[in-house]
Amino acid sequence: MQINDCTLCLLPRTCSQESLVELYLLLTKLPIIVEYPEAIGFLLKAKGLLTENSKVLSQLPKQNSNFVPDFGGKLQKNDEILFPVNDFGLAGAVAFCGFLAGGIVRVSFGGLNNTAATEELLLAAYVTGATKQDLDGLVILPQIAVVLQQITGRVIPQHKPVIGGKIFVVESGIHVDGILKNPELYEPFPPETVGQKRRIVLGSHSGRISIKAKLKELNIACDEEQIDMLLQYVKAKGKSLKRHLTDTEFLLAARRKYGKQS
Amino acid sequence: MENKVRFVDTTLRDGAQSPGISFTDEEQLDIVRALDACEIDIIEVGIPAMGLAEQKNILKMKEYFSHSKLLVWNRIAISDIDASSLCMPDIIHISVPVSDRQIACKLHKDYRQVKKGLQECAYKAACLGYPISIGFEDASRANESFLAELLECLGEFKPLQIRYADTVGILTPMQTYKNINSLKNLCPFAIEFHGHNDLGFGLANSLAAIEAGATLVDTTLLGIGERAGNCDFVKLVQLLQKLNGTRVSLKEAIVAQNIFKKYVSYEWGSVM
Repeated sequence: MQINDCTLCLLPRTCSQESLVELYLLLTKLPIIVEYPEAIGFLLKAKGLLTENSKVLSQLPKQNSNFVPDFGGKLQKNDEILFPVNDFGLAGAVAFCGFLAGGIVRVSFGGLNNTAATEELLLAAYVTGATKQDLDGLVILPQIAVVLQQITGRVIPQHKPVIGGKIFVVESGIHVDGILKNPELYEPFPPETVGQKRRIVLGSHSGRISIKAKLKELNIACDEEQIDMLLQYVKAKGKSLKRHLTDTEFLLAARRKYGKQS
Repeated sequence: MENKVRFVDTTLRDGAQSPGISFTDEEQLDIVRALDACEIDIIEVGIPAMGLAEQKNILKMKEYFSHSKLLVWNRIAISDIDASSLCMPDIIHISVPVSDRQIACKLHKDYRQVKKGLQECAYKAACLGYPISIGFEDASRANESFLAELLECLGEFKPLQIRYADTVGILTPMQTYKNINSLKNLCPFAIEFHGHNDLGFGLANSLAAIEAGATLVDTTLLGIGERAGNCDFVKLVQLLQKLNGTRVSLKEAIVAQNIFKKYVSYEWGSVM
């Protein structure tokens, strides 16, 4: 059971060495083996940064699996390092099968270059209890995401599993209600585990409970009738803006139109 | 086996619940038209209990259905079923939270009350003459013995299918296979799988469920949905086509996706 992360070997040669070293330092904090190209090996050695969980990879091998695993069968242990292709969106599943079978899998952060994603594999291992490793280190995932975006110039989609910036935003009334009662109702793992925060936003799917929660957060008092009117306003505004309302937008509406400050 | 798979689109229900997603009435009609053109089996269009505006919308959408069946979502509340009957849907879907967590923390009820509520709603819908489907919400964190109990009491209502929902997206493909395979032994009805993408397994889990015997799969266009989204319709069609073929044409599916792209922010469907 081992995860080899080859992110550093996938980045273009034009990347500055400083940024590669920065990324290296962050990645080595994760419970994975960090593979790095020879080009920065000398620098890392000179700076005394080589760690037990890093390893030079002089040449990146070709991706070697595009098969669909037999999810109902016995897991096959892979002899060579499994390096799945994501053409059909199954790379993560293939990698996880290989990992559970006790083999070594090669992945990259964010699933860069059509591979399986390091962070998804780590979370799957955590959620299923497949690994006993201490995963406190995962709080640095957003930092890694930022550095990687800076280096590659590519944007991480807001809804990408584990590292997407909006995955813990809640809008719909039914989910806000649930989250306020007990966050576990609608969260696969606590946002803090992966260095994120839960946010309740207002929009076209809001319910009374969301308005009440937001008013409380902003310290504004309203009676029931005003809450109803605010809800109608928020729903209509969310629909016309095609996004959620910012706190400022809501605050202005609440003060001017319906509410009073407590 | 895979080419028997039927698709349930939930873009306008589960998908539309996600933050920042909002469709105008015109857009909704356009989406329905596009999905119906793909000959998707079932389109879950919304929640009539949300109010008059939603009910009026659903009635309007009805006119655009020529291939697909129209399904509406309900909680275990008689008032929800009443609201749904105003929309004259093809199928009334009743969603019942089944995990201890959901039953205790969200509903503040116990097993007995949940079972009774479900029976009353199923009875009401049956009396009104509607075919029903049942959704097991948060099934991936539920006790199988409770699922068995519910399935037994549903016998007389003959639901078209049972939706097994991995509401918070914690299943792996292997666990999905195991759970669906074991549900199959308890369930005399067709099994529908509803997956989420929190661990990046939205697609793989749907495939595993199909392999284990689920005959319906829930999808959304571009995989929109809460948190990391639902199972992406086009990606699943693509995958099934590669493996064994599907009844839905990939070309038509992509046409629908392209129409849909105009109505959501670019964040959905982008890759790193």
